[in-house]
Amino acid sequence: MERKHNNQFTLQVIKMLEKYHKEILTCTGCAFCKKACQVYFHTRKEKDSPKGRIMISYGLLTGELKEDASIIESLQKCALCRLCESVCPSMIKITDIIRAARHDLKGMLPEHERILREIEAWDEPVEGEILLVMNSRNEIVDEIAKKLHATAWHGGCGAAIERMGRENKFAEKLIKKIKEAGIKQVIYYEPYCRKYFEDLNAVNIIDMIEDVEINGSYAVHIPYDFDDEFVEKVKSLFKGKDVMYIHECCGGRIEFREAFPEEAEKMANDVIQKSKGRKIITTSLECYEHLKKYGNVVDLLHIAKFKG
Amino acid sequence: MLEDAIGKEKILADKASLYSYGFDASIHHAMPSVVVTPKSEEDVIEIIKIAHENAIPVIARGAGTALSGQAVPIKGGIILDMAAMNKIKEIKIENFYCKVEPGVVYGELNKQLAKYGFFFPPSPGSGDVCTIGGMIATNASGMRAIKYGATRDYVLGLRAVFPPGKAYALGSSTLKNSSGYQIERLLVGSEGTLGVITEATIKIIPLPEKRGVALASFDSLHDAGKGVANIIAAGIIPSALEIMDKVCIQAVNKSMNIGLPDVEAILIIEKDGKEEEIKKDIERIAEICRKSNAKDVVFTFDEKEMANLWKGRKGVLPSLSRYGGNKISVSLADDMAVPISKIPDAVKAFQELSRKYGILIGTYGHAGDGNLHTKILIDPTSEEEWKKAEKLVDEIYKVVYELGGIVSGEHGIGISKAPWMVKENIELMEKIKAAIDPKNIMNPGKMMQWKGSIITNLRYR
Repeated sequence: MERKHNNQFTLQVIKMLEKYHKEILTCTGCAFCKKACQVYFHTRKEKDSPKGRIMISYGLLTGELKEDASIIESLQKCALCRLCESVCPSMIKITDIIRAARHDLKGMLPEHERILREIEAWDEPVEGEILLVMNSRNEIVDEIAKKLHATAWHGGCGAAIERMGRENKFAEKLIKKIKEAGIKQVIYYEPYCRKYFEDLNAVNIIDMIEDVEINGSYAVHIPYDFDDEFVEKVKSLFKGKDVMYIHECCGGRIEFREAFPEEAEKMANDVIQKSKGRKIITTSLECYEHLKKYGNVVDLLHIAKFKG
Repeated sequence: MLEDAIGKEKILADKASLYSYGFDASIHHAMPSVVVTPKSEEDVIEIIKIAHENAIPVIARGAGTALSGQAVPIKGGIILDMAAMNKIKEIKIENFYCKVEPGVVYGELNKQLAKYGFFFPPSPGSGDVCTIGGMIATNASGMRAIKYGATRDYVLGLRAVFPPGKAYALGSSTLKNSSGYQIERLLVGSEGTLGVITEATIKIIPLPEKRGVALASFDSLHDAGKGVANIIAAGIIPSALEIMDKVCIQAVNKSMNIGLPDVEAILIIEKDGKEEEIKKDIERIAEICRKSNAKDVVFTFDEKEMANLWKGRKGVLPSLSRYGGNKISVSLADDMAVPISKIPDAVKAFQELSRKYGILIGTYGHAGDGNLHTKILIDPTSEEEWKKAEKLVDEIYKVVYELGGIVSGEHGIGISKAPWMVKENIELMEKIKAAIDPKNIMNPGKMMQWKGSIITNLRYR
């Protein structure tokens, strides 16, 4: 399970959590974060709470704790949904600390090693003028690519790699391919991809949607960790329509649901329950693939009317 | 042994668990030998039996929100995480009580009680996460204590397990009880040093119809204190009466940009009750504040505007923790109670000590019941600052005693406040503890048993 690394890499690793030293000390340990954490709600174990993870990160930073399987599990058993940050009275950057701690981990969960291998092995032609980058093999991706006169890339931007705490070399390779192929425009969906495409002519697909076709009452699922701009744009599409919003995480991110299927299932059912019988519209194909196993769900892309 | 008695799935011994269960919300940390998550009173009995036979320390724990180290296992042993015993067993509106397991979260209980128009009033600041068991063990309360009292005022009965492993039903489900020792009250504030609470019967009361809030600003602490005294002397019992000093005001203004008046002190006063009544009272309160030299008074009955007025008060903690560069807010001497009339003297004395030691102190709290919170800002990685802070704390408590106050109003003693407890009580407390827990397994080393400096078992490295 040990990841191979050289000394230079180890030095970099220590530096990452060190950046958050003051932030961790600022946490008063009040535990208000527990009330927002869905994972803790289901396991009721301290190590599965945001506070528990911050304290464990501190132990790793000071050297009082040495990494082992239980520590890797605790730090990875967080969906990074950021709901804890919404209730933290000290406004601690909890998920940044957890991400830094993950970056510093030497070991990986076996499921994460497999996911990493699978993502990095993904290959398909990068060609045409417009590239639609989606993290899904679902047929909706090809349908939309056709509508937008784009070529579909089904391997995503590798954001999950970074969430697991590893360097996203996959995105680097993809960007290189995009540049080499002379792609004029990149269209992506997952807000996490934005940062990788900053140097490219890239647009979120949400900006290309003119309207949504719905009849009746819906529950729109926008995970809390999505950036404000994305959230506002989604909300503008549903202005005046009979919708309610759900911001809780469904546990559908690949690295979370594969490593912690039991909690991921409970979290999906929480979201279904919160929809109060309304049909759910997801705003992520990862959420869609996960939630559709448990309830009546479509994705925003299924009901989108594109501009032009 | 534990595995055979209660089942393997209730036992946690992995490093991540042992380390994370070693914290509460205090400055302290220590590792337990094992964590157990009982699901029933029978489990607790089995655990106490084994612990008693083998003289192993047992530290019961609710949500780990204690501010003085009550839940930190300084002698190792078994952490009893009571969070899984979280059933609301009965709500009997007609008899004014509810029966709950100790792991029920305070906010969750009040959510359920609100459906009947009732509530359990103590309102600790950690109410959204803290447990009823923890509240009883520390006699927790909050800003509404001025009108509604503390947890102890609502404990009608308890079930608890004591060494060598026997459960007792204490108190009653009746509102009145004149039937012998009030042993259930002895467990209030006992911080897990006597027994483990496995069920609580709690008195509940109807929710108030409406609330109103006033904010008064003062150019002198003395005038703010006069305002408090005059409100109470007028026979008005507010449902909250909070004070914030200049340091807190400036910290909030710096980080939250909500424009609190830049004055020496502000009072936030809440009154609840019948609509007509509170309108009259809030206007009277505003008038009294003006007559007490308030520079300005604003008030509202609108839910949103009230929330806005409270924003500043609730923002004190995060604002202070980000106020001092590399200094952070640590939980030291943060919960003294003084006679209400002595509040201005106390705040002034703390400000003088702050200057003397060159350590920033922000003071805020429940002016209406004399319970103050002083937040001390230091660099927690500096040994020198801790030593200086400990001396400062010693002087703070000297002032508190001179003014006729006590060491803790609502947080409890644990480790951080132990050296400053009233000495005369210690002998009797030890006798009671020895009688109930002869092997000293229940949260040993805390309160009256703490010896020496509090700057040990620190969670900061």
